[in-house]
Amino acid sequence: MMHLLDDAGVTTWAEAALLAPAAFAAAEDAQRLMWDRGDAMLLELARLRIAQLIGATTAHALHSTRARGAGLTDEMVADLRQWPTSPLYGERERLCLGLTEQFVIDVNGITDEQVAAVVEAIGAAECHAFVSALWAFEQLQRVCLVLGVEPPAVHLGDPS
Amino acid sequence: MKVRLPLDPDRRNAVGAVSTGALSPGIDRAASRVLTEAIAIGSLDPVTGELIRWRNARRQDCQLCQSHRDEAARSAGVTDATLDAVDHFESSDLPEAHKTALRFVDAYLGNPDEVPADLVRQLQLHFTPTQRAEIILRLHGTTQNRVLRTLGLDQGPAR
Repeated sequence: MMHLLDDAGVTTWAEAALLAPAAFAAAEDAQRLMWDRGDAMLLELARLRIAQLIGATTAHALHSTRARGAGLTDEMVADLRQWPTSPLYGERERLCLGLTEQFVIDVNGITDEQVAAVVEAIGAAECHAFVSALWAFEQLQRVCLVLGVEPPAVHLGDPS
Repeated sequence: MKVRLPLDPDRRNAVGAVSTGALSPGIDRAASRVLTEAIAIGSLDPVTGELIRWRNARRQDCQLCQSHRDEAARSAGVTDATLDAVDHFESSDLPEAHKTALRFVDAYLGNPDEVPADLVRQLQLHFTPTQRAEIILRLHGTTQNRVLRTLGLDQGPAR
């Protein structure tokens, strides 16, 4: 498969960043902020579900050490596609994963009730941070897909 | 659509969206910096930049984005008729370079894991590596309107 910067010899995020250092740094900073503002387990579940939905296999193969430290297990990750019925997921995770899916598929299909339920479950400030993280994670994965590069460590909330 | 978070709908940020600063300070700024820095790369002409922004605005149906007009693009000749043509760009008389950029917007927003090789070759023909990086990062930044749509932050003018 061809990628957007193949002709420039770009095969890594760092090489792409050399073309526009400040802009790529801003994208990295957004990732860092999202991980600092949200629940690491919820964020990692959302990040992985986004990767499944948009075919970001490389991003999906990577795992956040920070989320593991927050209690995410291999069993939960293995059951992620079955989140609506898996006993490993609670109401809070289900509400956030439902919002994640609708965000990726069609933001205009999101309802007042759906957002209100997430606000009720995790609070308004964290809901805003969570939705902002959906944007940051999804877009970074899309950028990496069209460039054919692996996401940087900041995408996982882990130190470089 | 109503604002879906407990925020004052008349308090707006720099781009006119409902400000979330009182709820979660810093997030709006960090997110908008992605677009600001992408634009600051400065390798794209204002027309291409505006057409990319507009295509995404229409795809997300962002009210705020669609109420905005880029002055540099206006000065460079972009009219409302030009923007109307973006909806049916394949059959329009837009230049091939702009059609190529718009095809990429759709690929990026649709199936970024399957950008056709022909489209990549066209992009490489019409745009330098730095311009292509700018297109990608502008898309990253401008799709922040998905957050606005989700949370009802793209309201009409403040009272």
